[in-house]
Amino acid sequence: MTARRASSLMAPLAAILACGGGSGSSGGAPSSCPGAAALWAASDYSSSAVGSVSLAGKVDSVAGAVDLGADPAMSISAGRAFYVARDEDAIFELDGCGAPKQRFSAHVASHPGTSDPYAVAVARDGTLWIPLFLAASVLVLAPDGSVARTIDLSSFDGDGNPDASNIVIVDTPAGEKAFVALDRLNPYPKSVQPSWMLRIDVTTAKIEATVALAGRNPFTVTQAGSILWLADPGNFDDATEADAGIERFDTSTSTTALVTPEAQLGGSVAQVAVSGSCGTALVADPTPNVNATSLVTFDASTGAPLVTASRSPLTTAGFDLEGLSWVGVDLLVGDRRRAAGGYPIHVFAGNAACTVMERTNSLFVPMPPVAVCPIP
Amino acid sequence: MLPAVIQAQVEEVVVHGTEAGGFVSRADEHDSPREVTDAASLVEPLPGVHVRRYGADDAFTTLSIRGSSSTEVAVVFAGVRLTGGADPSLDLASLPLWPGAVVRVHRTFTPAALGPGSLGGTLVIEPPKPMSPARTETWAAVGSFGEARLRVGSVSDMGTGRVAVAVSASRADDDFTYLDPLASSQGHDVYATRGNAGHAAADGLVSWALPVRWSSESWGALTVTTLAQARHQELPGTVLGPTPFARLDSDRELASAELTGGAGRGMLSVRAWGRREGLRLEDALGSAAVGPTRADQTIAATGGSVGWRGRVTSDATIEAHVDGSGEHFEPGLTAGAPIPPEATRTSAGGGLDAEWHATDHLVLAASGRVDGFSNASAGATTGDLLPTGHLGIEVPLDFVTLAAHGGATARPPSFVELYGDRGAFIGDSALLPESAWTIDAGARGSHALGKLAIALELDGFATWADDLITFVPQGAYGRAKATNIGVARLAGVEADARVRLGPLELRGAYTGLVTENDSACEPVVGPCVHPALPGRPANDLVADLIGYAGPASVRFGVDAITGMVADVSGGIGVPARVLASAGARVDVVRGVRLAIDVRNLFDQRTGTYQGALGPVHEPIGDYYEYPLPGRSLLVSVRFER
Repeated sequence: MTARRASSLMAPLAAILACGGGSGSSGGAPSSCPGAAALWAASDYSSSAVGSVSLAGKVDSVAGAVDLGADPAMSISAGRAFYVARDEDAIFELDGCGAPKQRFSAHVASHPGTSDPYAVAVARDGTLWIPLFLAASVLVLAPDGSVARTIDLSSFDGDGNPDASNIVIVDTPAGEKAFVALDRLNPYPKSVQPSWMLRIDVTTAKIEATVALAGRNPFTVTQAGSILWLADPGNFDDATEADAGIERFDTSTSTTALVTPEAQLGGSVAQVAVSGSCGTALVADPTPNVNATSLVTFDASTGAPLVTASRSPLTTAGFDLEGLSWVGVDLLVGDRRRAAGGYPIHVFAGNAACTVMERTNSLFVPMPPVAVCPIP
Repeated sequence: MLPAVIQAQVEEVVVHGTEAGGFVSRADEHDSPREVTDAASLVEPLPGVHVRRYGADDAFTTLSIRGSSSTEVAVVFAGVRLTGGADPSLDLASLPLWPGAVVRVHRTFTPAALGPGSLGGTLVIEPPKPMSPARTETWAAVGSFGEARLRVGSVSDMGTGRVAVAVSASRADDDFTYLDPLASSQGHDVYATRGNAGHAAADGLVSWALPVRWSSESWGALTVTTLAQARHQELPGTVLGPTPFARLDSDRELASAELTGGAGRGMLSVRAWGRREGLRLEDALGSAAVGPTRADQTIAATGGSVGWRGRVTSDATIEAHVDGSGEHFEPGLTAGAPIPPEATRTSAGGGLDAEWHATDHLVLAASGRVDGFSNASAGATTGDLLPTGHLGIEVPLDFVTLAAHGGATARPPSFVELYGDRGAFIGDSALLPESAWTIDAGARGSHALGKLAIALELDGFATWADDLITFVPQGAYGRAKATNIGVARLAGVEADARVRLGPLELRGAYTGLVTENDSACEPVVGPCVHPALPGRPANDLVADLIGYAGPASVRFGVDAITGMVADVSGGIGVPARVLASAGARVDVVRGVRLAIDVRNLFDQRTGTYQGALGPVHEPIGDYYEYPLPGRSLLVSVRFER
């Protein structure tokens, strides 16, 4: 098997993850953390922090913990929130304040170094399903954290590692299924061959199908009911690739389609968040080693772009926007440029016409955000 | 043996500087209370110095002086600068060592005569002196983790001249066990064996001096020093991303020739030198290092200088130098990664060190240089002009000498900072040189009272550094671009003490350091609070208590480091580390000494960090991803005649 590791220098490419099963509802704030509306994970790729924030600006955070690692991600699944310390092979379940309350190990002893867990999905039986980006497998942990099984994925790419980067578990008409996104970056980190979606039956752990995705390099996967929204940037140095953009995957039929090509949006798509028929995305321009980010909108029912990068309400000079999520009627956008009060999470008000307007009150977190998710 | 008056004239010109010119620490392999395994262990006990080891002895090791980064420290051997545009951060493990090796550390301020200055101080390694008394010395040792070492040095007559020969060789597996943070869990520590961490190295040095008679009353010398090194270094990677197949083979060849002769009221010296280094990196496809599977590189440099040192008045001396050099970096066979750009640097400069003994109780010193650099790569040429200099004052009193200095230092950007490596690093040919202002002041003195003898040095310093070059992730792929955004403030105190009372001797060096990284913020909401610079301990103590009894001595030592953060935002505190060591020596017969040294006596291999759910164990080390070994044993024998 060929191992690979995203070094800290490559972290921005690898760290952005959507909230997985998060579907954009605001949920109720836990009593221990009144007013908390969103969870966030943040990192400068040297150390990391995690916490929650209320729309009034109150922030709770945990920072300075060595096992939070230097390259985090966040997952929401089955009403549970997880902070994934990818470089530490550690997964922390979070409480409603965004504070870690339980740790799970995603380490695979047979793999030297970190296995690089990328996301977490919770099955109905309480097992945790974890794609391992470097260990070419899906790790299934029992509710008590012990290893229930390991599903080998090494045969799904010629280099021995299909780069499993995300997972969502969905109740489909055919039963409970795990959908595992395979980037299939070969030669790494280039995206030159089709990416796939694996369908695994949760009960039997059998791989039932491989679906060739319409777009390449599924960067983030965002669940909205039976639909998975995929951000397919392809290669970030090209914003005109035909097989890159926003992809809509229907888990009930395991069919998929590229609904918005990246050329129509004005940049490679890094993240997608959908609320009803209002789709939003973060896109990056193709300038090498710059990749200026913008917030764009599209009609989720048709895929038609509404506001493209050239008319974006929020544009940065570099690859600065990370973390995108709907919290009720508000859209939260993470920004890695420090302002006087900290690192901003911009709050946009959305409406039925999918027009987003920035509210005056940005929220601030203590480190550069990489993920923003609604509290489940 | 030459007459003393002639010998004084034929001694190689060694730039020592004075306390009026800057604070200098000196370490002598003969004088070390500990068995010296490598060059890093020789300089480690000096005040103001922090050695960062990325593993056991012989692993990649860098030097920080007064909180500087390793790229800001110049390393000079036999008058030849080993650091340059292609390799600004020297691996101390690659430095040669021989019996009686002497190193000096210029803490921030460096004599202009040593060549282009550095931002953070200079490490000077003196080669064996051919004009020293004839002797042959052999040191051999075996120790833990497959360690074996041999050092031989000899000084003898050679016709009308003298020759010093030194040979050294070492090897180790360094397969120590460490706490595996990935496999460990709360309350369940799992230890793993460090793999692919060994090395094998061989060094040879010849230095010879031939007296040169310029006139009946004027003698000089031709001193030629040659060095050849070969090294095989295994590169284990981090504990999170081990690289079991990465290897670096390197060689270094160096030659320096200096001709001296009396001129007026001083001595004229002309020096020419050349240096070549070859590197060959190999790694497996798909390595965790995400680097090339093969990368060959060659660095070639040459230069020369002309200088005069002497008295201009009865109470004033000056040393003036002009020098120039050329350095060429050439990539060779490269696989699995883009070929880094070829680059060349030429430099020319001149400097003056002056010292005026104004009165019996007042010495004034000044040092200044102007250096011009021209960098070229891919047909584009850029240049910098770097003026640097400092003033110093020394006030010798009865039992104590006071000294203070202030001045400006600078460092030109390195090749990778200017041009990148066409892979993970992006260069910027418009980078400004790093620059800093530093002041320091202190006192030193020694006194004997009966059986009590005390030597003490105490000083404080402050540095304001601007335009520091920092690699900042850019774009979606996070490639790191060199930028001049770094701003840092550093202040500290240094203490060096040696106290002897009858059969007991106490030696200690302490460095207290406060740093502020003005280009980063702590992980807090609200106005930016600047954190400390990572990897710099607030308190660094090295101390040894030695007891002497006839031909034997025993030693107990402590190495303590506290107050260090591991990350850029200063949130992750590295737990305090106090490592004990012990040793014993006995002169079994005249000229034969046996020694045993135990390091990390109590086998401390873990530190307790703050974790997300409470305290967690991690391996000890400046960076926990690079663990340090537990207890180790070294048995050595020294022959001398």
